[in-house]
Amino acid sequence: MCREVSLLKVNELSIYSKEMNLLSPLSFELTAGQLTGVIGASGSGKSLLAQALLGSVPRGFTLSGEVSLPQGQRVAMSAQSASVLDPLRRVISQLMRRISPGADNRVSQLQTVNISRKIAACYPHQLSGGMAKKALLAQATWQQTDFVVADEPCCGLDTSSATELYEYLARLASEERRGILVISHNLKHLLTVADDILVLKEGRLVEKTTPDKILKGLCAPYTYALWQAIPGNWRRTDAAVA
Amino acid sequence: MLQLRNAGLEYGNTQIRFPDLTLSPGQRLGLFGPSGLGKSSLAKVLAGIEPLSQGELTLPDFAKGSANPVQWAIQQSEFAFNPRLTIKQSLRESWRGDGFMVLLDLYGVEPGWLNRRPSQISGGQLQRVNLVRALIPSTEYLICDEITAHLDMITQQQIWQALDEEAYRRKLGLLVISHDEDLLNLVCDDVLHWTA
Repeated sequence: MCREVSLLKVNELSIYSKEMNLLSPLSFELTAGQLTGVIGASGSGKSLLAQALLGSVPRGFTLSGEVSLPQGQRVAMSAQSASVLDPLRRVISQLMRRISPGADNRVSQLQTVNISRKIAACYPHQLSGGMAKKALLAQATWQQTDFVVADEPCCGLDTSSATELYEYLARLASEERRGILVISHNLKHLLTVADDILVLKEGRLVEKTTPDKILKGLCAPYTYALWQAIPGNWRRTDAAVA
Repeated sequence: MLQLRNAGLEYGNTQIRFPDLTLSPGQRLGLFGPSGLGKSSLAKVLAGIEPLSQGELTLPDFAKGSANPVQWAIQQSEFAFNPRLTIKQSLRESWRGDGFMVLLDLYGVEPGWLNRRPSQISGGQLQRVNLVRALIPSTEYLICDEITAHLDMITQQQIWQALDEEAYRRKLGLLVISHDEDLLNLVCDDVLHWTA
């Protein structure tokens, strides 16, 4: 029997400031070859969780608990905001610094995230919101780390581009056996690609579930409410909200 | 009335040809199209931030020194705030007072965020603040550029319900830019499909 190797362990991780507890102690494991989604309301601690997995939180916040990786394994992150791109360097120049030795040539690398040469030659301020997202994702995935955390990687992208990028992330998990954690508010997309879904609410873990269970309604009431609030399901939700 | 005819924009070697559109008071027009086509550039033109290279743009008149009646709720709200100011200071700049307080609850903005700086609240929280800032009393047309793209589904639904009531009450013209066709079909009267 093939047993999946645990890649990243989160044990009693919490984040707090002087005024409040932003992330209640939570524990979970992420495995190689799997795409795990994180969903929850904005401000529920999703991005803080991502930062904590990289061992950093904003100034004024305190982190406790443990995030452990097997020795030598690394995590890369695709940030939510394009403000992390260097405004003074062309996109291609920033991306090439991330290519691992021995990787395919630059053109085929650009194709993985569907960035044209013309776009790659732009400066960050010349990119559309969607193109900036692709550049951020490329910057993270090209580093060939064992683990990739993608914070809202497809927010602002049209449906077909978002589908392409989600499928690309799923391939990184299934074919390259990398562990992928995707933070998103878009449950509709996560349901199509995720193996597992962590649901956060107000800084605590509601449940770890699967797309199949959500679609069958075998999930926590909050998770089901998130599913019902997908615009295509609004008519059913209106009655529930009222 | 907001109207765009035979309009285009040039950025160096890049040329954008905009679709013709008309937005009347109280109308909700959706704009749907692939990433990178120039939807946010169109928003900049309509908000008077970017001058057209060609074509005609009709905008409502407003007195010099007063706020533009066409407001743009920008997609990347992290770029829309002065990082040195608190949220309350930014809102007071646009509202010229504390009139925004009545909208906070409707749009899910918690009073506790007001004394924080933009970097100290999440992207989705900043997006809601940005919407409240754009809804100053003089606004007649609002360009909603992916305004709920960073929000969870439940909050997204609450925001659109609040904006729907506000737009109806104030007869606001809404241009709704989104990649979610289901959303556009639900909140707009018409949807303009813009293709390359």
